[in-house]
Amino acid sequence: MSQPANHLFSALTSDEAKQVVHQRHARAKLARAIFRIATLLAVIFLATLLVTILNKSMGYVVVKNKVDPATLANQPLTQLTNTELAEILRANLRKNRVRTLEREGFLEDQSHSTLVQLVEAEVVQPEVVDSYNLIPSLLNRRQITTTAATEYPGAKVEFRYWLNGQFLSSTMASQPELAGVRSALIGSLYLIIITIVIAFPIGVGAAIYLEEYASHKSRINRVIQTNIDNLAGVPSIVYGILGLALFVRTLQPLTSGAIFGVEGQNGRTILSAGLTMALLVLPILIINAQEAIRAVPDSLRQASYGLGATRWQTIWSHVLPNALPGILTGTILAVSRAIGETAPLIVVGASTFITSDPSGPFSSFTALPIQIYSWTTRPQPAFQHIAAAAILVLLIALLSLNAAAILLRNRFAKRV
Amino acid sequence: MRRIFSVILFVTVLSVVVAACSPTASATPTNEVAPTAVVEQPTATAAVEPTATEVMETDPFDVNPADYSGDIVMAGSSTVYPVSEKIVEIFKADGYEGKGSLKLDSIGSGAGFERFCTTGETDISNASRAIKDSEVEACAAINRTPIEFRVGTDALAIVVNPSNTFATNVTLEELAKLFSAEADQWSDVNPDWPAEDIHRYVPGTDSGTYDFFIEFVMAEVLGDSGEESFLGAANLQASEDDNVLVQGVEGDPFAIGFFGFAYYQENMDKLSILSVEGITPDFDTAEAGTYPLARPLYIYSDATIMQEKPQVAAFIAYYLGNVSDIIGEVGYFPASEEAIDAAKQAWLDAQP
Amino acid sequence: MENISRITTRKTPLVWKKDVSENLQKKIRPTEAIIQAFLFFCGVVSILTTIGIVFELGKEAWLFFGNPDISIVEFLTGTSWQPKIGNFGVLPLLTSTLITSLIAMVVALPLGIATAIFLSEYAAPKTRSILKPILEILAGVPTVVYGYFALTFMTPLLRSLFGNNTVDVYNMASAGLVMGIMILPLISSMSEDALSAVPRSLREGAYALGATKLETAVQIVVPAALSGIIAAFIIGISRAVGETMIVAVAAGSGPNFTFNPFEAAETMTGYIARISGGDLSYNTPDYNSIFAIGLLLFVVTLGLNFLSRAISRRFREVYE
Repeated sequence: MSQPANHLFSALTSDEAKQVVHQRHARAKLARAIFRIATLLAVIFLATLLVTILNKSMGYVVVKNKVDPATLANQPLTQLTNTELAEILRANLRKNRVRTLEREGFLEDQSHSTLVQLVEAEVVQPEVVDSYNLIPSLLNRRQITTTAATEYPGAKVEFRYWLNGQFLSSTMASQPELAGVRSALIGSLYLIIITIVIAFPIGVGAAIYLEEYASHKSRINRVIQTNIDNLAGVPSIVYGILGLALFVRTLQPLTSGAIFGVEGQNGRTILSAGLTMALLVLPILIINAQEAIRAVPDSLRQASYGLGATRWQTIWSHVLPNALPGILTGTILAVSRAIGETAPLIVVGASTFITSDPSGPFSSFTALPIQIYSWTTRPQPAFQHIAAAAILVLLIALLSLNAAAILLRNRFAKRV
Repeated sequence: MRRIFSVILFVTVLSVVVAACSPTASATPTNEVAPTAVVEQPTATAAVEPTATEVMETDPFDVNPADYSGDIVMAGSSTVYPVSEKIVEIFKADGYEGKGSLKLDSIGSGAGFERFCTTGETDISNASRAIKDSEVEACAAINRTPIEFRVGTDALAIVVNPSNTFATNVTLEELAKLFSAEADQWSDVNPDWPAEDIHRYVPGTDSGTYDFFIEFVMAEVLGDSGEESFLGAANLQASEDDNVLVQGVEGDPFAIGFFGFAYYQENMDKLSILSVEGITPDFDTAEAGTYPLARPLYIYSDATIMQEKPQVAAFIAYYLGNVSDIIGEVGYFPASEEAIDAAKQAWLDAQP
Repeated sequence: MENISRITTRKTPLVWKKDVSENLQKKIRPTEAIIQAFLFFCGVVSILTTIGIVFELGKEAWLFFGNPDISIVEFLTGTSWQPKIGNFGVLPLLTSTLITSLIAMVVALPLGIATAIFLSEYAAPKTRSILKPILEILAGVPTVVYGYFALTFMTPLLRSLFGNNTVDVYNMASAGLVMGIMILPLISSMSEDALSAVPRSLREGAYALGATKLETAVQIVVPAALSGIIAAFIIGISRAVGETMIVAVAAGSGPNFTFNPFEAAETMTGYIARISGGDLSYNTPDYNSIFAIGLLLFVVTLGLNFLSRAISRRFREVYE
């Protein structure tokens, strides 16, 4: 066997051998560069993703007034008296609107700045007629101003952060300038609370059972374990279909709240969506919790048994407190999965246009990813901007959660 | 440790960016001036315009949304959606804010009737076609009798990409051919047009717009095989969401699509509209009915629902009282006065 | 004090022993039993979920195939999917699913493995500690965000590279590429785990024989970790097949039997999302069809997951 190899080597002169070695090293260097570039590409992808979103989430807008303030009065709005402003409002707004505004008292009695704002927003009605991304806004500022001046005479160019206080505090609207994510944020929050309330006890319970009680030889326990591993890989949309058939339709009396005396709802409620999400994150939660429990050293359990504690006493007072940080980390990671999931919500039937905040588990709802999806599919550029703003909100929520999970994990790592 | 650090750094950077995003005047929306209801409201208005208010108060279609509360659930046509969306907005601004949830889904006329007649989930169904007999029967099975309210007129817009300069007008026959399996390329329909594949962007099969097009274009020209030919055509993209169609036609030089006029109006700069049989859709041709693809828009409800949920009756009354003023803004055309009066009469008849 | 010393010096061990032996007999503790029963139930919930999926999907799919106009043969071999006119061939949806998944894997597999090799074999601990969180972030970004990215970045990029006439507004290539970026971190982290599990002694043996780092990585470490890498690959495919939002946003919304990645074509998941998000009429062939397709999807992904697990179990090299 070794004969030919020897022969081969002996046939090489030292120069040739050097060359071979050189080639091998060159190849190794090249490969190293390739590996490095591949890794770099992954980083570039992430950067591009973030830049695309940031790029869309702010920039110059061209704002044009629907009604020129000059036609309303001879002076600038701020110099008008309350009476004059009230007159303008009465003359230009629908009667019902005026009635609503006057529920508190006469328009004249409201503060001057409030009236000016009202006239600005409801009579003058500034509209975004054109918008730019961040990068062109920074690079071609002058050109934007000149184009705006020629194409939209009388319009104003201003820099807009699409993610602003108004965006966070207003509900859905048909105009992108007025639309916001408040209902969606509250909907997502409800959804997560329901998901945790249901999935956390069941998930931790299942993990305890599998780690502390189940014998690994028993067939049913092996089936449960394999089954959990496989469920973790089932596409989320399949859970959505399950939720549609099971929670929205079959269990409608429960999920619509009919058996609790709530009327006029169908099964497309936060509860249905929360239950679906709970099933979806359950396998992830169980697997994470199992790992946390497994990491608790056996000596703790044995010490506890040695003192005469029962199995449950041991688990409750020794295993769980030690596994808790790990379990919580796993739960946070599972929750961050639930926040971003969109497909199951589409199938279960989240609404795309809903103007009020959800009031409880039995109300219909929308959620942050659903809003992003619905705005993404709109062709008007302004909707792309607010979709980017909503994505930023979602990413910030996710990153904060992940940071919390990593902090927790680290603290835990230090203690053991 | 390094790892957390970099993540935290990342979060901080992002949050700084975001913090910078909030403008100093993170002004609360101006329409939130009135935080809580106050009792003295009638005197206030009465004192300002006593006569006008009193006279108008007798009109049942001059609704004050603030007098009502409760949930209203609507679903249906994506064509009617922008109109209902606008009405919902002004209904809220006019006093319904905080009084109840208004839910509106854009799912197509057929699916809307499904929710209204079969599952009974909705109070109001939006439709861009009249209700079918089968749907009326389904409604009867759950003790609902649909009442039709005409709210406006749409002129179905046939649109192409702005770079398409060869086609400006189509006959009904050409239109049917363009959307049938008989033609793969533009030149198959008209030899003057280029030999390029036709990319078709059409509303989904459960939308009223689809039904309308099949009935008044495909079946008209090709007979019973029209629908099959339509769905069998190559390069066919179908969506319930008309925005998806707009995006498709906007970016595709050899695309053709159709949808409600409002979606064209909203995206005029990105699309070109074709005239049909030489007639361009606009206010006059839609009103006069000379544009061949003009069609009525409806909302549907039921007398029992309207009596059990007064807020639904009020909303419909408000709808009928205001729709003609706002429908132009949305991109459709007002229904004739007679049609609106008939709808108002239907509303009055449904009152106990 | 006195008491204690009395107890400790007490010479009656016999009595004590008797007591203990009685206590040690299996004592029934109702609370413990109830708790154990509850915990067992928690474990069973996952089985119930699987049964629920199979039962609900199967029930509606049964109704779908029970329709006299639909045969399983036509379902699996037909090339046109238009339920409205009675065409129920799932192939157009299946091919587009395969094409988008294939494109995704072409991006994710080489990049993912190269990244994994770099992280486990080349990178200094410092670099690793920066790169790994970045990959974790990439893995944690919700898919709807990737959908947005595909539509607002990848599609315009492809169209400016290849021309508007070649690339449709909605196309499989854009969705597939972005899906590849989404799956990349999954592949790299799973492969890296597999590579790191290969013991140091193997590497050191290779170095001792004069192998370069590349030769060690490619000829020694990768083969040793191959089962893990293949498992990662299969899980990646399963993720790609089941991914919904990216294709729903970017791949198009009409079933189209084509192999051209620059054309629009709807995938299985995209179809389910569109039908259930929009024109959902209960108990129609359309409605039942999403369950039939859902079942197909479930079976395919489950099969892939099983395969991945089996491969990593059977071919895993165990080192002491």
